[in-house]
Amino acid sequence: MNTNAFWHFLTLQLFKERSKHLSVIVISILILFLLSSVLFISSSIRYSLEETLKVQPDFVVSRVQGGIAVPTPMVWGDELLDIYGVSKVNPRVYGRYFFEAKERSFLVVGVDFLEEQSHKTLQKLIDQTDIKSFFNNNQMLVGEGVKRYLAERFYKDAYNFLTPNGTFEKVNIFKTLPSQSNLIGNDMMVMPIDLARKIIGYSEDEVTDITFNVPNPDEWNMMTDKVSALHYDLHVVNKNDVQKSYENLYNYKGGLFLILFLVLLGTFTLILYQRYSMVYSSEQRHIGLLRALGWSINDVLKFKFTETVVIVFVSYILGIFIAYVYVFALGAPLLREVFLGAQNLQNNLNFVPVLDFSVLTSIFLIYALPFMAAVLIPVWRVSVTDPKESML
Amino acid sequence: MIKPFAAFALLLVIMVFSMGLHYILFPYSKNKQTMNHITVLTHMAPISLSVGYDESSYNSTYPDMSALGRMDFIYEH
Repeated sequence: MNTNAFWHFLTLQLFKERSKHLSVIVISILILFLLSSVLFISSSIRYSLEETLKVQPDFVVSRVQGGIAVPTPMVWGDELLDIYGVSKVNPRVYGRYFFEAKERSFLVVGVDFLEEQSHKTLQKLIDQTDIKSFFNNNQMLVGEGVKRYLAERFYKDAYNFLTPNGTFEKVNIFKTLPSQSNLIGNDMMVMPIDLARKIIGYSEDEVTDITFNVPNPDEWNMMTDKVSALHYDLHVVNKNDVQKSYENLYNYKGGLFLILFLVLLGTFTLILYQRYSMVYSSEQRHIGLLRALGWSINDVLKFKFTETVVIVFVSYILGIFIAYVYVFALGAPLLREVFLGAQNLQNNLNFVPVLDFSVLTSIFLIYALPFMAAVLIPVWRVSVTDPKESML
Repeated sequence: MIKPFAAFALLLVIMVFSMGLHYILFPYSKNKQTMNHITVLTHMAPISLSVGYDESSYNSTYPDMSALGRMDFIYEH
């Protein structure tokens, strides 16, 4: 058959019976949209966190007693510095500050701004000409979620923290952290380390944990053993553990949606198979008519195969496109909350577009192959029967 | 190929093209820099989960005991 005539007939047929194909396409789009959105969100979060791995400290040391994290003595930092191969030892002071009545919490993080690196990074981060004013009085940088929450409660410029010893500590809001950092900074309050100690309730020689770097990765296992031997209640985590946790992050949620997708796809394929193999259906009559007009079995199969491929491609492109817009342009409202939660502060983050082409190809194959089999097997069965019988 | 189908195919091509354009033109470096600055400044990159007060403060299995782990840091997972 002439190629032009074939395509003309095929597209004409698709448009003529568009209402019949529309339901199949809509269901396919919904299934593909849901699965792609979930995979887009999980891969985007994982990508953003993995990007920060390069600048994260190699090791974190904390004190654990009875399985519970307790304040770490500052003096452990000096002991770590004495080990050959250890560099950049930094104490970290952080903790959650609770609005008990409102059941909301913020992450208070203390930073030693006297360090040259912290000072430079602060300048790059907040792009403020008058950086000196940050060091006057008590100042803090807050994430977008914190800023919004406090502003709604009339704390537009400052907030009075209630410290564990019962005194109030007024801290001014200097600036909001950039929205690009909402994935990690939405609930953050960054302030000088001594002020954070006061708010959390640590004494001067206590920190939450201590970080350090070991430039040679071959020494990491040996260093873990060496540092663990320093104290019986010392807990060490290295960057490899963090990387593993990032790799597994949301895998179970993605897997759950994948199982749902497979169940849906199985049901959908069965419905399609039933529909195309129904006795005396219009589909059978149509195939019989084509055969009676002189079409060979090969022509009929080629026609139905191309028709199915067109439907599969249209559904796939529309499903992926809608999912892309929903996640990367609109920020995945509702579905975002499945991954990040919605019980604390609202997080309006923009996901970084990440398309994993191997995953997209797998989705296509998992979707397209059963779909095409469910259509082509009954069509082949009908086309090999006598045209007279098919049209009965 | 009939005209309405050609127009529909063109629409699909435009969709794919606009998706590709957004993917290529997205300011990845700015996002990466901002995230890295915060990580360098605070020496940590804890994912900002919007988890409830009870989950992070109390042990729901044994309410009379304190919580064994905190949900807010990836190191603890």
